[in-house]
Amino acid sequence: MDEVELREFLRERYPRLVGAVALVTGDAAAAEDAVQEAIVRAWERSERGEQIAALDGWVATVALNLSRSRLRRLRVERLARPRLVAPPPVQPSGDRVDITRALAGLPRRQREVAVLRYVLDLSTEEIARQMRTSEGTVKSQLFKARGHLADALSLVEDTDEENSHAEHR
Amino acid sequence: MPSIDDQLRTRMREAAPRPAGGGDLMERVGVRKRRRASVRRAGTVGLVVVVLAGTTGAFVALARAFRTEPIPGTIPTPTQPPPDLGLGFPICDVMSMPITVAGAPGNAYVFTKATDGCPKPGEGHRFVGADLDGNGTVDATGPELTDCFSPVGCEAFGAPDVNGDGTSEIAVSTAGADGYGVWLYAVTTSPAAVEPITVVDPQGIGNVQTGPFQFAWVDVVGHSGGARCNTLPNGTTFTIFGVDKMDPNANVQFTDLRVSGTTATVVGASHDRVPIADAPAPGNSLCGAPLYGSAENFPEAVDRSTSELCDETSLVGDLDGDQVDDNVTIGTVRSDSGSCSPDGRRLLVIDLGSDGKPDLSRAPPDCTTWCVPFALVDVNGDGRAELFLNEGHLAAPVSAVIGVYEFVGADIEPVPFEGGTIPAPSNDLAANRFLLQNSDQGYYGAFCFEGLTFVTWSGSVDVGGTLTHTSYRVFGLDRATLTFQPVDQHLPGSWSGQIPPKTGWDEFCGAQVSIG
Repeated sequence: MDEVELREFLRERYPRLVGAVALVTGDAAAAEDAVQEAIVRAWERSERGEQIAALDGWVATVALNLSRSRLRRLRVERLARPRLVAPPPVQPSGDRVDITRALAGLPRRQREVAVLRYVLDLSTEEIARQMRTSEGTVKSQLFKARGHLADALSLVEDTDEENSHAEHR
Repeated sequence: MPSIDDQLRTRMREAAPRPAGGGDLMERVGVRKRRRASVRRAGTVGLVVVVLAGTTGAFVALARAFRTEPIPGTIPTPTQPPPDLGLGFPICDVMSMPITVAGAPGNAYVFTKATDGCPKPGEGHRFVGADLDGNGTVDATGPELTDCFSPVGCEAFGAPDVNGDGTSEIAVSTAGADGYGVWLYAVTTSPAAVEPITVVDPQGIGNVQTGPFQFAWVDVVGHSGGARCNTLPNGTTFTIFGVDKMDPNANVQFTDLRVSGTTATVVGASHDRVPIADAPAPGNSLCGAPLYGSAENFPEAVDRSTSELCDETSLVGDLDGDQVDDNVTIGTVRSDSGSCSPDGRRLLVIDLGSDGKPDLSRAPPDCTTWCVPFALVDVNGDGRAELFLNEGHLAAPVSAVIGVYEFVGADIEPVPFEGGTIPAPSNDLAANRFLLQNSDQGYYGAFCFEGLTFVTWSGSVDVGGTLTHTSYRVFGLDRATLTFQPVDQHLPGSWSGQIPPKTGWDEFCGAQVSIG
């Protein structure tokens, strides 16, 4: 990845990657931090001659892992220092509230799978590869996430069964 | 009407927060990259800088890696030199090693100019030279070697080809008690020359000091360092590494350089955190080339003295309900010789808070044939993760026997299965155990549904993949026990249809598992 490619990646993919990670973590600033860190790591790897086949998925997964570690650190800090209180998050509005709330009701893993699929358009095969799990597990998680989100957002099921199950094949 | 998937896709993308923006993003990423590189300086760079400084005081400051005490039994034995190697002046304390020059054999020498006898190692005027055509005479001599510390002095260290161009580079070392500082020299034929390789860092990665290239070759309890070659499609990279060992893990810093002629260009740097046993070690060869002099017997293996366990498997979860991840490890206790025997004693170690300090160290509760942590996940919703231990890879067709435990007080205790009136599926082996199996003989499993309820099940699957018979045990939410309730086979279709005949156990109640 040379500088031109990196600039293009930042311009084309960075906003959506940040949005995806932020939907999982609920913290846009932390998501930006994690995505930038992941991009730097990808850059370092490419300088060492390593090829990253699917950069979107790689960066997203590394950023999600980094944000998970960050959350763990925050938890430890808060327990160690009870008076340390995180600043209240900026309150979103409108549909974002519903989506955020619906996603927050999902287990972390389902949330990640849903965001990688619906926001970043990764295939279930690619998600499985990046998350180092089986495609069957991803499909199962996606199925559960989809059901929960549809209920929480009162989405009406399409009567065309072909369409409604197409994502999970 | 769009499908649910399309609705979700649209609404989630619209709801996704946007980056704050501001400033040149490329610049911000570049700054972050340089900062990462500079943070990594401590290990390898510290050694290089100190070795370059070359004073006893500097060595003391870095006592973990280099000491200047004598090294028992490591005084090099010089090889017998040909008469003056064609230099025209007397020499002594000569060390030689074969090199390759454009694919042809040659020799490298490290020698001392004899003046009124032979100075002690570390004293006098010492040089590196090369015989480029293998005729036994020195065709080119490098600048005088400096910082050749007593009592060993400067030695021929090795003759690797660090850039894969068919001509050896000459590595020369100066020795401390625990290891070496190693310089690299380039050999050229037209004109004949032996010149120091110089580090340049055009990208400002900053992991090594620019100027004459020197790296550390050291392996002590808390620290090690070395170098290796990585052959890539676009050429060979010479990588130096520094390892800070903090049991049970090691922080490893890598710095990648491309060597061309007399220039080593820093092209990358990275950082890794690995178990100590997996950390790179210097060993007794450099890019496949043997080491000479006192480095010849440099230990090959990583110092394992700080790692008590081997063949370890760890899981992370909140075992005690304090909302902090805890670490559960089962490993084999090393023998006194440091080996990892399959017959070695297994040990369960619980580190509450994952702070690196074990809070419980005991034999796993049932480890007759095998034991490894399988999953650490809260299946009954009490806020404390249950510990699922794989306690037996038994004979086929059984895949695994899983025991369920909870951390109570200061130890783990079995979580008993109690109650129930339905015919017991045969997958409950004991009061707190069940089977996992995928085979032609039947399927046994366990999973969570609707968030908190834990189910064990058994059944068979016909050739078309349809679940033809299933029995279930559904366990309730009692904190201390998993109490199964009488549930017949007429389960709500909404979830009975979702029970998959699993083909592998890579996920369990939302947690990743270790198969062992």
